[in-house]
Parts: sequence; C-alpha cells; structure tokens
Amino acid sequence: MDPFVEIRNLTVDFAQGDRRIRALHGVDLSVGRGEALGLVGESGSGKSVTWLAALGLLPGKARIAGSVMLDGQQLLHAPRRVLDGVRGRKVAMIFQDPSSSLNPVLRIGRQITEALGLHRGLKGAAATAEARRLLDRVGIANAPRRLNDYPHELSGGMNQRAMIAMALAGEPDLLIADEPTTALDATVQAQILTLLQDIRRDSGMSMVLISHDLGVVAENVDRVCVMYAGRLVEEAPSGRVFDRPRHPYTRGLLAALPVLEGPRRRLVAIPGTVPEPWNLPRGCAFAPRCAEAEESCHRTMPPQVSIDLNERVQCFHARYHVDPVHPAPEVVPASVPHVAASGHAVAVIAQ
Amino acid sequence: MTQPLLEARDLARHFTIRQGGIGPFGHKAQLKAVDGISLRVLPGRTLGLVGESGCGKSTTGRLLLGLMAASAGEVRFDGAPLAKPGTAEWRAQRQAMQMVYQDPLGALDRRLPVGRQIGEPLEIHHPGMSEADRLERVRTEMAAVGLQPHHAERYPHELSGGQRQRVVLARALILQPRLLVCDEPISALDVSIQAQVVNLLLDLQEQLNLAYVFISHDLKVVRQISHDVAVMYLGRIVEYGEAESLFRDPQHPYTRALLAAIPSVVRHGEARPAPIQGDPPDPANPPSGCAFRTRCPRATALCAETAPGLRVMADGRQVACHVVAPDHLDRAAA
Repeated sequence: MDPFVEIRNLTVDFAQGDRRIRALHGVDLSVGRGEALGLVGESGSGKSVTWLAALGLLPGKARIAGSVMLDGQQLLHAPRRVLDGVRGRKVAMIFQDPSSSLNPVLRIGRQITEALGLHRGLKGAAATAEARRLLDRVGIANAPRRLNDYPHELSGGMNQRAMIAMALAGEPDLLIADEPTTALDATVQAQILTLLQDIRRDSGMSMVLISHDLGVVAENVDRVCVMYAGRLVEEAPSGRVFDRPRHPYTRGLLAALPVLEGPRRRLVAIPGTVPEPWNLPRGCAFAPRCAEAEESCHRTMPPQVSIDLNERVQCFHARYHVDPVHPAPEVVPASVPHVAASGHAVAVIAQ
Repeated sequence: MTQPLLEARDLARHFTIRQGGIGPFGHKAQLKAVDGISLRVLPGRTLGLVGESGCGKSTTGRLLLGLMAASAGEVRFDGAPLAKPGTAEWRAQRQAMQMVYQDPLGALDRRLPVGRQIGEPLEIHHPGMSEADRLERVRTEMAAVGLQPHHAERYPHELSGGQRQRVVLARALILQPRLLVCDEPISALDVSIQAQVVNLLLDLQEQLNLAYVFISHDLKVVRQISHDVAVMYLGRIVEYGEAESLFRDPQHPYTRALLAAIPSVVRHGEARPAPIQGDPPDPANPPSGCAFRTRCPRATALCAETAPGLRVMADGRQVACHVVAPDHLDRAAA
C-alpha cells in the first residue's frame, strides 16, 4: 500500500546555548490512507515533536533533518506556500487542551467560518451553513445557537467537539489527535473517542492518535508505535502489541498498568526514570531501566529489527520474549543486511 | 467492630456565588459542592473517592482534614470531633492527618533543599527536637520512600516528578500520621512512575498501618489501591461499598457508565457499550431530583421529582437510585 505520509530518518535538534540537544533520533514512520495509527510513550519520548517537526510547527531554534513525504510531496523545509496547502487542509491537528487552542474572545462560529474561508474559500451564508453542519456532525446540539457562544460558555467536551469541527473544516485526509481526551472526564472521553471513530468510518480519513494512555490507543487504532527517548522502539499491529509485546519497555508499560478486570495483582513498576535528552546513556536508552539488559545493551544501540513487513523492534532481546501461548518466531538475520539511508544497519529478518 | 479512624456524617459545603449579569446585576445562588455525605475510614484501610471533575471529591478531602470549614455535618477523627483551628488539640490532630497533593512541584518550596522541607514539620511540631535527631528522622523517612541520602541537598526542580512526589510523601510521613488524604497523587506522573508510587503507597500502608483517603478520577488505580470505594456525582455519594464487589458488579447507572467508559488494553477489539451522552451538569444549576437523571438511561418520572437517598443493598453496599434501590426494598427489609 502506498502510504499517505512517509517519514524517514527524522531528527530534531534543539539549540540550547551553544549545545545542541537531540530530541528525535532518526524516526521512520508511515501512515496509510484511512489508517489509524497510535503513538504511545511517556512525556519526552518525542511523540508530539515528531508531528510538529513534520508539519513545520516547531520554533526556529529547532534543527530538523530527514524526509517527510506527504502524498508524494516533500514537506521538510518546504516553502510556506506548500505548507499552507497542507496544514489545516490535508492534515489537521487537535490538541490536549481545547480551551487554550481556541481563541477566547472570538465566537465559536467565527472561528469555524474562518477555517472554512481559509481552506475551502467559503464565505457568508455558505460558510455559516457549513459551520452549522459541522457542529451538527460533531454532536453539538442546537448548532445555530452554539455558533454564537464563546469558548468559555462551553464545557471542556463541547470545546473539544468544536476543535474537531474546526479540524474537519478543511476536509483533511489526516487528523493528528495529540492527547485529544487527556483533559476530559472519563464519560466525555468515551464520547469523543466514539465520535472520532464515527468520523473516520464515514470519511475514510487517516488518523494519528497520540496518547500516553495505552487503553485509549488499544481500543482506537489499527497499528501502534511505541516511542522511548526520541526513538521508535516497537511498531506492530495493535492486537499484537498488546497481546504479545516484544520490547522490554512495551512489556514494562503494560505490566505497570492496573486493570479493571480480573484479580488484583501487585504492579510491576519500571525502575528509574526516563533519561533527560541531554543525558542519554550510551547504547540503548532503555538499558539502565531494563531487567533484561546485558553488557552489549549498555555499549551499543541495538539495530532496528524488522520481524515482518509491519513489525519492527529496536532491541537485542526482542526474540527472547517468552509467551507460552504464542511463542515468538525465531529471529534469524538474513544473509545480506541492507543499509538504510540513515547509515545504520537495518537487519532484514526472515521469519 | 473496629472503631473508624475517620468518620464523616452529613458533611456539606455550600458556596454562595453570583450568577448571570455583571457586578450587582447578578443574583446570588448556592453552589452545593458537597451536599450531605457520610463515610468512614478504618485504620490501615483505604477509601477511594472517585468521580468526574466538579463532583466535589477534592472539596470532600479538604473538609475531612478540616482544611475548609463545613457548612453542615460533622467529621470525627479517632472518635473526637475536629478541633477548632489554632488550639492545642487542633495541632495534635493535624499531626495525625496529612495531605498529599496532585502537583508535587506546586506543593514544594522551590527555594529550599528538599531535605529541609521534609524536616520542616518537625521544626513546627517538635521545636525542642535537636538538629541531629531531626536530620536522622529525615534520613529515615527519605529511605522509607525510596530516596537516596544525597537527594536531601537537591532543590525540587532538580528532581524528577516521581522523586518529587516521594519528597511530598516523606514530608507528610515524618510526623507519623495515621491518615493520609491523597488528592490525585499520581495523576501528574508518567505511567511507569505511577506504578512505583502506587506500590510505595501500598507498602507504606502495610508497614505503618496508615489509612488513606485516595481521591482520583482514575478508576483503575483506585481499584488497585482501595478497600472501599465511594462514587460521587455532583456533590453526593451515589454508590458506596467494598471495592472488589463494586467494580465487579456496579449497581448505580452512573458507576456502570463510568466503568464502561474506561478504555482497556485487555478488552481491546471487543465492542464497547455506547457511552452515556451529555456532560455532567453545572453544579450551580443542578437538575431537579436525581442529579444524574439527565444522562441516565433508566431515569423515570420519579427521578425528576425527588432525589434518591442512599439505600443499603443485600451485600451491604449503599446505592442512591430510585430504580436500582427503590425505597420499598429497604422498608421491606426493615
């Protein structure tokens, strides 16, 4: 399948004084048409930075390298004209805190019609009618009246619906939802996630769902990427990641999670803390917290291992994963490892 | 039966607010943040207090500690009513009950090394204690929460979020309290760190026979840590009972909706029930009768007329619902 977005070896450096701090260490990522991709990881893992960098939304002190192809078009360091045709039009973004993303002194209707004018050239009555339809679509009752409300007159859930309506104004092919429900109450979170599913089903839009909540991701996406300290450490179809996690970090995250069903058991915490980007360990960034780390892990960065077309793990021990029900396939390096554009070897693995 | 360490009866806190219009043109209204709740916490046990934002769970926590005056009702700690602020009894009581907040950075002084801050309650409550003794106690408490001795010299911003929350815990524990009210103590932490703090809280409870009131919107964590759970909606308790049975077989329609709304990595792939509609109502302008009726799939005409009181079910659980626990059940039992 021809991916809609293809990110290759994306790196981001932030200048701090005369130091350069690397926040993203060569991320490869693609999103297919109509696909829902989940991006999980703890704070500072680079899940938001990846997309902010891809869309040229990072401040000037960030140095970005690599490649971001969208629909056959290079976005990285593209002229403003190109980006304007993409941002809000082909790719829309919604954020965690809707009330700070909306303009507090403009009515909801004005903010939506502004987006409609920018992206679809709609004006006047046509724009108002379309804004009404959009509010209806995102489940805001009494749309004509709500168009005249200010953000502070709406609840958090309603504001997030209004944000989604604005995002839909450009009829995007891809929606990037960055922690869209983290600030919302549980029952409202469920409503918003259901709404996003409905919209995707109706429009065939792709979605990237960024979240630290594994449960939210598990229930809403087709494929999952797990990030740690600026690297993508595991990628696989959603069911596989949660049933048979391969990377020790993914396994650690799942073991650390309390559950609502079944017997209570003591949580298995991951020891230590996420390393600071300016203080990364040599070798694998997770090694200091990893129960399975060996000497080699502390010395060298493990290569990214492709298990098959849609599964990747960056770990020396991915193959050691023991699952009595579904034993992991034996991982044998192919005779000719090919060298990726980034310069580090990517072993191609025959199953 | 064990004497409860903490007991609240018909506790209420109402705020007078102005609504509509600017300045003198508004009208006064009553916001019932907490509206008549009763609960008890046994020594060494955990009561989980859950609900969505605005349900009054944090206000309840502050009322339980006497950090905020109640409009009505009573709190008893270890059999005695909460003492008047400023008195000697009050100071003695304050030592035995401590608070842990959500945001450790906000709860700590940025300009003091954390070791000083952990020892500060001793300076206040035991001014006669020698410095050597105090430092020794700080070291012991830091070790108990898993901090290294060298952390004492650090400032809050030099520590990670999890370490900061350990500092807050050490400071709360140094007076050897019997009750901790934890208000969203792990919500600001990363997933991998949350488990560390949850395990620490459980270990401390076992070692010190601490009682917790654990306030959280995260039901998975509440289930992990609580013996009993009270579910709040708009200032009232709608369901209250033993944690295991409440999570296994929720009775109140709101508890059911809340549990059904939690995404899970275990049941991914399965279809989830449709979420309940609407937002929690404005506490300043609650619906008549049962506050949940506007979103309740099972609401009847009666629900709009009168607010249901808590009724005791067969398994000892309390439920406030006309449909699930109708009045006549209780009368028949009595």
